[in-house]
Amino acid sequence: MTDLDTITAIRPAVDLPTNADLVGARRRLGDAISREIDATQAGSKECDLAPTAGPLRRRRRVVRLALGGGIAAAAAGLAVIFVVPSSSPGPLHGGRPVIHLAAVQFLDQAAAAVVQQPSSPPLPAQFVYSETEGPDGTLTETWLSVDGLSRGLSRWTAGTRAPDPGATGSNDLGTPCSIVQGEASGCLPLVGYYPDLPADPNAVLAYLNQVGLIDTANNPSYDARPGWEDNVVGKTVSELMASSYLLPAQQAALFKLMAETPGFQIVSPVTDAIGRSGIGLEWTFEGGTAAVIFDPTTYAYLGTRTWPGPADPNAPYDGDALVKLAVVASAGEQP
Amino acid sequence: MTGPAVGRLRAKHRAETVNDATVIEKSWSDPAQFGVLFDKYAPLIYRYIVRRVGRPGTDDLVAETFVAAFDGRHRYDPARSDARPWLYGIATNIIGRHRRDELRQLRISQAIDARAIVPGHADRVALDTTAQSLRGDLTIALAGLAEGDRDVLVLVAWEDLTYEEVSYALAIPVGTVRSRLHRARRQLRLVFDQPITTTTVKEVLTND
Repeated sequence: MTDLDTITAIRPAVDLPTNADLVGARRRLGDAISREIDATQAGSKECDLAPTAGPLRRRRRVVRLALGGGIAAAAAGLAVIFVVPSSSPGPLHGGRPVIHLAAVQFLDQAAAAVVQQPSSPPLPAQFVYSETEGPDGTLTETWLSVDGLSRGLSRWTAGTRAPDPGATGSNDLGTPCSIVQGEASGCLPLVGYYPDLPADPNAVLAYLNQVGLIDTANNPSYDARPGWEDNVVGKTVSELMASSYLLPAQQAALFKLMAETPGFQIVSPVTDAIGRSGIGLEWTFEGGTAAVIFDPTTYAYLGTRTWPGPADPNAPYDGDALVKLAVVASAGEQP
Repeated sequence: MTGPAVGRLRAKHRAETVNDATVIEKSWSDPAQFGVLFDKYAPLIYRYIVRRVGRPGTDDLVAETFVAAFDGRHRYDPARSDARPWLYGIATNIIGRHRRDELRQLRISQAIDARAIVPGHADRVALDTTAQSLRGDLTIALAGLAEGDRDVLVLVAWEDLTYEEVSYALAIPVGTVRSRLHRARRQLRLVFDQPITTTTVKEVLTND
């Protein structure tokens, strides 16, 4: 050991920081980037707002919506910090985006907004009713037991653009099971309400593993697949927001969890399955792409859209829109 | 039950190779691209700052480092594919404005039980009994080094930068890096020959 080795040996042992340790610094850098973008765009907003055709259309629409969301947030008295997304797919690591300050800021704002909403948790014996609509007009109604002790129900009616318009069907969802059981038997690993879902985003995934909604803690193969965590977080947030009642603090935790997961980027505007325009938080996994779509003003969950390859606004629509979410007394009862 | 694995994913992404110069050049016209550098290097810079000035306020210093880098990105040399030395240099300049914090941190390090500040496996392997027995004296001696000498020594011995990288980071000739390192090592080598157990960092601070 040389004297230099000895100096190295007395180096203070410091762990690398967690995502939470870096949130403040990331936000301040994002602010600086936002200021520069705002300064450079100050004289060209009119141009950006003008409708255009062809390949540039998507970017210009992105700019318009990002600004619109910011204005709406300002009206609500919220901090307004938007980094306008790039027209390019974004910085790539292994073919996929890795940091998205605009996404982080949007999600932070969403968390700050939803946490102020009133809380009205359901009663244990009630059901959470959700109604979703697909691009062919098919309506799906789902009733999930709040306490998980009663059998859930799913009912659907094929839309007018479906291959068999008007066809109906229903499924007895049984009582909630774990996702592992669900993969084997088709039961649904969802309940209508998770009163213990943590408000701390760093504790959310552990909790979801604990209740069997996801199975990543004991499945090392996940960790070997790039983007697995984006996929798990994106899908789980979608499922929870589409079918379960979430306390405001829980919603905020899910937004924060997305903000702390590196693979999400804003691809707004994304149109949901029934034509509503929203902010899309997009991720890629194993060659496919998916987006969770939120209302740019209220941050309400609107739906999801997936693509088998890169996101393409002109591709056939694959996804669902949440039309209604309510609490009812029994399975089969409509609000 | 394991906790969220966000950190593991980030580490995996960091391991992938990206040409930093390309990212920085893109950020000239598309500022949001600069976020890539943050994701890639903020953990390292954070740890570096904690090692030197302690944890309180590190978040601010990391932010200062990256905002300064962002503001100065148009001056970045595109021929340098690795932005790490550049960021270390900026962080070092910012640490320079917090010298008293650094000396305070060294005083804390001197006071802390050796067992508590050597939890890393690699360090445990590397740290022989000599280093342990001299820890306090070496920490005192570090605090007594000239600032420029300490910067060079720490960047080489703690952050694994090469002489050339330190040269670029601190904007000094490689020859100056060598001479500063030589001077620092010579000064610290005195500790090996004659431990200075009667001195404390507090005294060094007082005389600073």
